[in-house]
Amino acid sequence: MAKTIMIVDDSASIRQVVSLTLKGAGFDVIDAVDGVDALKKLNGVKIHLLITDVNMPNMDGITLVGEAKKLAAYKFTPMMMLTTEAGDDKKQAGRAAGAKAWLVKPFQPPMLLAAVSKLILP
Amino acid sequence: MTNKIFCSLFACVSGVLIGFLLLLFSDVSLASGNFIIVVLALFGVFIVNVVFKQLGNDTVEKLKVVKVEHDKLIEKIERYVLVQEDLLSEVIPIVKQQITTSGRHTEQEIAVLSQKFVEMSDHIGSLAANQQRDDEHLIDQLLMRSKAEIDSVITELGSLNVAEKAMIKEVRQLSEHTAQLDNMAKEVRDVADNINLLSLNAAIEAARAGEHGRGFAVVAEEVRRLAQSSSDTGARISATVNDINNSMGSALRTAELTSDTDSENIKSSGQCIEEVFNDIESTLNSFKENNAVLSESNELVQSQIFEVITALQFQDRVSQMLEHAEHNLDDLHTSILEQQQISLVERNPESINVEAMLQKMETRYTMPEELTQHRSAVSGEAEAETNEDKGNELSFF
Repeated sequence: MAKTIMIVDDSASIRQVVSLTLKGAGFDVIDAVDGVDALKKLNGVKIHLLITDVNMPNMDGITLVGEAKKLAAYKFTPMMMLTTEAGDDKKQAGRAAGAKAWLVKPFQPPMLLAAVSKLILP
Repeated sequence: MTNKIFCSLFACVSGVLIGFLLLLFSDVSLASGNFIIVVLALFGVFIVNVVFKQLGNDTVEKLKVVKVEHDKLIEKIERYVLVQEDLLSEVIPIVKQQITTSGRHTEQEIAVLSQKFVEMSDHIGSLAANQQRDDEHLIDQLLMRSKAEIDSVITELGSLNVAEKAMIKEVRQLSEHTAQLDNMAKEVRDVADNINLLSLNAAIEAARAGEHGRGFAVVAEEVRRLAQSSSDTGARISATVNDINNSMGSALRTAELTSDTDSENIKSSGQCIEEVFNDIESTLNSFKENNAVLSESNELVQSQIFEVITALQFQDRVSQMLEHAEHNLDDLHTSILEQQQISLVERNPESINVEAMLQKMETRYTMPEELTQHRSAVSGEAEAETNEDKGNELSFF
């Protein structure tokens, strides 16, 4: 059974690269365009990792992580941020909301895969 | 006013001094002297007042002229401010629209481009690998089956040949048996001849015996006839055996000839087929090798396409930067509109907080690069080198 990863980002080109990278490594991928869309698509579906951008319309990534962590199904699901932001204050906010890693864009696929393999649920 | 008082005082004092001097150095009486002093003082004050009034009028005239100039200048400045504001009000929305359009355009086109690359990659992948593997597999199977079948045919022919040779061997053995038959037939004839002789002797003895020998002579005659027929049978067996031997001999010769030719043919056919198979096999192997090379280069192309798609991430950064530029222009426009609501005379330079606006822009940025460039632009330095590109930096919590 292939593991499922969700990618949330309002940029189509980012979703494209992440999707290809993960699918090439054998994962199933669900994508969403912002926090609201992500929560709709989560809806109890089992995922092994959540990757999300920070700056998105309707609901930003850090809020999304906070909201998702409140749901029983995703309380222990590992979550990481993928964003152009690199400031320490934003990183602390992400950490406080429950994110386990922070990868700054633009990223190289091997780096993303390294993070995924370290965080993903067994 | 103070100047006037001082001048008046001075005039008074001068008058008094002159009066004193007059009193001192001329024969004027005290009363007249005092009178003169008072007159001089008053005169002095009067002169001062006249002079000052005249001066005052001059100043007023001059001030009137200056005021007119001043008013014209203020009006000019006011008009300038309004025109400048108008210009900015008109131009900023246009520029903002251009930014929005180019941002949207870039995003759409990059998305299409990216999708095209993904499709290319998928196409190469599915076409190349699976198809080739299937074809190779089919050809391999076909080849193996054909080889197996031809091998079994060759084996069959081989075993036929063996059977042929076995048959020849049997036939040879048969001729040995017929030789034996022939011997036996000869023996039968010999025995028959002997019996014939014996019966002749018996007949002679029977004749000598006369009457008593007549029965015996008949038996002897019968024996002679039997012997004769046995001899004939023996001769016939010999003749038949001879015929059999002849046919067998010629059959054997033909069979031997064909058998040898067959053997040769089977061997050379086998060799031919073997060679053909080897050719096909080597062709297939080089085909497989080419496939492997093609596969490898396909994989290389696919990974290069992947690198291109990865590089297209830049679109995300461009989008964000343009968005921030749009918002910055919005802020500027709002500020101008707010100021335009207030009449020029009531406007206050302190109400435009440049520092606060720049700060607001700073908080909007999402990339370290944006902040660096903002600050270097603000401080007037040349565009800073963006070597603090923190992309691909991973931290765990």
